[in-house]
Amino acid sequence: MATQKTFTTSKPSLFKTIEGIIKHWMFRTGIDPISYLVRLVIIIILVVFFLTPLAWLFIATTKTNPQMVELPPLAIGSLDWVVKGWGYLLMYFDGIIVRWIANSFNYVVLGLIFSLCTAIPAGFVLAVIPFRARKIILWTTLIMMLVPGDALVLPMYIELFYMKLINTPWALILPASSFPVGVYLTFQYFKSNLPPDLIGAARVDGCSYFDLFRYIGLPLAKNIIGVLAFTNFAALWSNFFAANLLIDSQIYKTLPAGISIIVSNCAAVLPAATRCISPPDGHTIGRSEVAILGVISTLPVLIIYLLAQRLIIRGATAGAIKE
Amino acid sequence: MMQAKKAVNLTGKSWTKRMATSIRQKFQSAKVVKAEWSLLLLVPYLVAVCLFHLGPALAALVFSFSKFTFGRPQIFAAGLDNYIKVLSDPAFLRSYGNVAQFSVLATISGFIGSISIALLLSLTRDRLGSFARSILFLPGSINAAVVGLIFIFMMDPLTSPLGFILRAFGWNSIRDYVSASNATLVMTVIRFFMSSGGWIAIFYSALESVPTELIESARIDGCNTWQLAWHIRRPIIMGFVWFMVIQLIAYNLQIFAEPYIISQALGGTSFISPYWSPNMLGAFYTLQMGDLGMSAVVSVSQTLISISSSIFIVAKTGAFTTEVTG
Repeated sequence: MATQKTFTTSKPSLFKTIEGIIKHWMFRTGIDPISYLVRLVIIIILVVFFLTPLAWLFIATTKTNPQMVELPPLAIGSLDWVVKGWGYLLMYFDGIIVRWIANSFNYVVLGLIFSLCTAIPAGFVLAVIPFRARKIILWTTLIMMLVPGDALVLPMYIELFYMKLINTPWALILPASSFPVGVYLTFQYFKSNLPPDLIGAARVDGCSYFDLFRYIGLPLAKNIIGVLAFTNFAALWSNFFAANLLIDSQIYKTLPAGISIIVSNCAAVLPAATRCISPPDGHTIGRSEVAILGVISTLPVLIIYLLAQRLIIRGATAGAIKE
Repeated sequence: MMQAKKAVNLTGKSWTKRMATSIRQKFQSAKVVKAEWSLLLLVPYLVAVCLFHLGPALAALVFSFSKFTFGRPQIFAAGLDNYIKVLSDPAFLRSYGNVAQFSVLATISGFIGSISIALLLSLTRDRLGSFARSILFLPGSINAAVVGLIFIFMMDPLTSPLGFILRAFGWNSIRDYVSASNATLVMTVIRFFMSSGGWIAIFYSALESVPTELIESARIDGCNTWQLAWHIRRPIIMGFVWFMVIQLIAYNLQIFAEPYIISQALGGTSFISPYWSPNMLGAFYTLQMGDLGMSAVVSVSQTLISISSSIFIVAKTGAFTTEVTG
């Protein structure tokens, strides 16, 4: 009997060994191996679904138009073609593409400056100064913040038409100054980072609200500027509906709106119908050039998403999920 | 004597009291003045909101009842004419039919998909979950116009990574299998690709805040991995459900860029008409027909839906209200 006992404890069965491994795995990961495997398989499928179109876009820039069809879809062509393809694009309307890229950057930078200049002081005032209309302004800000940007483009056209701003860069820059999301995020930030005791002490010492904003609010705001700038940059850069409707003249268009012009004018996505021919060698603007434009128009926001993902998620989640 | 002393004391007291009151009043009034001046910091934002949020909404409402002669509005001269014209245009109801159908599909898939994926990623806290979250978030960086183009290539049997499957069905061109009847489905897939990553990231962040002790105690009580996800983690994000659903509906009803670019790129096909969504129709009324009255009616309908959904979110879910009322 005693020998048997020694035998079972010193040499565990295969089943018990596996059970031990599973228990150790569960202790370490908090998930059983089968569920882990199921999760792994689904994650791989999801990553493939979400990453393939993006990877395809980047790979497509390295292929000539015939190669787009001849080579396997995810096979890389030649990097030389990217330079050559870009050269063909520069020939389109005497390099208007460069103008579109510059317009996009200019409008976004000016829009960002306007939006930060209005949102940060407003958020500070709403968080720090008690006054009668404060709640009404906050409720309006909340409601406006949740209205999708595209919902107001059509009515804005009508208003800007009578302000004689249609077809000018200001039609895209000035509306950026109304930035309720930024006001709400700044309000929330100051509310949680400026203790009422500190404000009270500063006030007793004779500090005006202006001084409070200048010496305490603005230096503190440095931390929120990143969140606001990244969140708004992506929105302003990707703005398509407004850029398409409010600007008619080609020279004031942004890059995303310009892509739509090339796609429409050149029939670039339909190889049999393509209409834009570059003079020196009769090359036609097609899918490959459209892919290059797509990458140029995606890169700035993609870089921000890669570098500042946490800040952008913070901007998106702020206030929405109650802690 | 005593009375005189009292009087002196009284006068002394009242003098100091008066001084103190006057200083306090001066200080208080100074504070009020300073506070009022500092409210100027709010003015640029208020002007911007009035001009570019409230103003357009109001302008659309006024112009929807106005008559336009050579671009000049005669305020309230049209009565309900613009509304009658728009409502009798079959394209208007069709566009709302399209986006309603799309909105139902995209909202359901976005809602169920995002929540399920976020729960799946958060089954355990490891690098794989964070990595997948980051990858799934990336398509949100592509602007809608480019996403529309990418999906044309993804659907084209000659350029798609799934081209071999499509060609096996005998489809050699996008026109061979894509038609108006499956436009809604295509838009739904595009929207899911573009926007679900953002929601997944939001939910994933919320799920990260679930206390480890809670998970541990549930596990000791015999919960397996999937029960933990369903009974412990899911309720944490379900409080957010109204907010997400209404936001999704409001955003989906505004769709413009993706169908517009696809319609431009595949011009001449019957896949997506140039007025597939209300915003596309509004743009058509404005730019092609030059009828600001009809455009204003579409604007009013879109603005009403958006603003009422926002009010509903704030009132029903109480999202954001803690800080405002607090």
